[in-house]
Amino acid sequence: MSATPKLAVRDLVFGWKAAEPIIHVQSLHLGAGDTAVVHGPSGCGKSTLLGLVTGVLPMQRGEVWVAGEALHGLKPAAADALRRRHVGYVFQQFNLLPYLSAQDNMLLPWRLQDTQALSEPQARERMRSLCDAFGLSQSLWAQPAGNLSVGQQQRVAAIRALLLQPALLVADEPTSALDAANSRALMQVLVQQAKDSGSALLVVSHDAALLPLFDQSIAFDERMRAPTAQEAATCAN
Amino acid sequence: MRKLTMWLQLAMHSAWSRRVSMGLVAASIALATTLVLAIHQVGADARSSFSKAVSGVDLIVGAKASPIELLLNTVFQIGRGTAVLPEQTVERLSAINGVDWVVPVAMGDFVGRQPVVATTPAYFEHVRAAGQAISLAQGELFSATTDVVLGAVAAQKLGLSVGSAVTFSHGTFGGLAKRHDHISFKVSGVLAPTGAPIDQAVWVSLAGFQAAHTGGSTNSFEGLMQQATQGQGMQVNAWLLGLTSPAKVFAVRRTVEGIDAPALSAVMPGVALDELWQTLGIVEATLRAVAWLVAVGAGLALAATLLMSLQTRKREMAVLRATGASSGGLMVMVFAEALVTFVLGAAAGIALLHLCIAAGNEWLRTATGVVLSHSWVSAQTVSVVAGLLLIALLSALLPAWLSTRSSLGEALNPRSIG
Repeated sequence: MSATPKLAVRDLVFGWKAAEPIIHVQSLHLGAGDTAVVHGPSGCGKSTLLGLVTGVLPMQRGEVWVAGEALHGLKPAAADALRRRHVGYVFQQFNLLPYLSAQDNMLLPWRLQDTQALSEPQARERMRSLCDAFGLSQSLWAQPAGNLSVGQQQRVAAIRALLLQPALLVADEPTSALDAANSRALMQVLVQQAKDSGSALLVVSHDAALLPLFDQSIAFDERMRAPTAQEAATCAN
Repeated sequence: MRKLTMWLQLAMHSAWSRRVSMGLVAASIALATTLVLAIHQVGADARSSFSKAVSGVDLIVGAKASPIELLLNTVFQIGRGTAVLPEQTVERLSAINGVDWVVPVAMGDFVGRQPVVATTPAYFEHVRAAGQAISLAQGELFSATTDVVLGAVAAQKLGLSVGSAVTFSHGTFGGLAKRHDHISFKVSGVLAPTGAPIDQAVWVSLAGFQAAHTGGSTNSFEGLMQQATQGQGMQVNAWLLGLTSPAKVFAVRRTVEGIDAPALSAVMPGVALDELWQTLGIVEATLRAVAWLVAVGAGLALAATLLMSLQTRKREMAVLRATGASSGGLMVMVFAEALVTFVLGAAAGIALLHLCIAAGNEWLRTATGVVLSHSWVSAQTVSVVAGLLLIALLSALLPAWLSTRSSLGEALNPRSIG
């Protein structure tokens, strides 16, 4: 584990309305190769947490460090830049730009980079090895992303998120649209590739069967929230 | 630069995936472009067509009619023709102090779609067209009654040259027109091109013109009318007058208008043209306003379509955002899409305009005497297209701004859009 944590969160507070914080994270540290899964009932802000630690959402209070760089207090444009440098993001579904080919989707982060650390052949080589790891056949590369099956799309999304070996890889229910066997297989590769890339992996999932794959399992209610009485009642359902 | 190229490529892919709706917007931009350009061009070309008309004429004398009517009739051969006057009146006009020369004009017949103008050889000596003297390109002026001289454009359109035979018809509607085919004319000469309306006409002597109208079938109403009026001798529609000194124009006009049998009106061509401009100016300004409103409408359609597409592209924006796209990049995308739609629309509009000119020029010339120019890139086209571009870019402002606003929130709560 490297000295600087890939993700460090201290005393993070967020609420859609300032007066009603729905998320309160005292402390969260993930080093290189650390994997953590956040689980808990749906609708209680797990996805919101991912938005906060990637700078998509502005936090109200607290500190977030990604790869040693402060995310808190950044202007939106600077947060965008930090995300380009250090973050890979996988959504539950509809991750791809349907009008681009699978290959162009996978190479998108490399194209969006401010300064390209990898040459184009290097980026393609990295893509190729990730495709091998995820079992994505080369015959699919030129396909428009919209033609791929859901399972193929999620693998393309995972490869895209891992392409630049991000410090932080976040995935929001990445396998929830898949059946149990495929879901487990994809998650296993994702965890393994995150470790190999030296990324910290933060996954949101409600699938209890997947929890053993991760180093840490964070139950949402234990450490994440400072719920109001009413909110707690809703989430308990 | 590399990133800009990448954003433009993304924008093109994205726009292409919505090509039907963007194509419709491009079509509305094309129509607006055609409309605005057409109205500007018709206005400008009308001005240049009219100001290129005859010069050297100080007064136009005809039957009582509005000055504009008389001008359009005698100089541009447009309209039904004012009432005819007995040719002998020329003696009274020539006698007025200050009148240098008098040239008669009579109209009403056509060869194909080209108007026939009957006059005397003196016309070609005194009248100047588009600022230059009228000269012959080939052959000679009419000397015999059955000789005609063709304007440069008339010769080209009719496909006639010196020695060809022509017949006149009364009106331009081919089969329906009353044909004066009992008398065949021969082309004796072709005029050099001037760019003025005289290029369009077929020129004949007064005697020849009269001959075409008399001696026809007495079974027809017109034939009977002709015979009934033969006793009155030759008739003309107007006279063009040149004065010994421009200063005498008001005195001469007063004298002409003092003649009461027949009642005459005398028109100064410059004054009548000014009057025409004023009338046209109001119409033109109104048309321009309407055209630009249509252009603004096309801009709003662009804005509306972009806004609606943003709604359906929330996921796309969220994905781009999550991948690290900057808000500037998203704005570039929206603007690029607006710009490409506009450029395609404007190009189609310009092409459509020239198609319309090619198809409708002939009709417009015969109906109004305005000859449209075919210049693809005039200063005017550039300024109009720049104005339209401004509308398009302003229309894209709100969608572009909203693309950066919404995408932040959407990326954050992705499942709400899935």
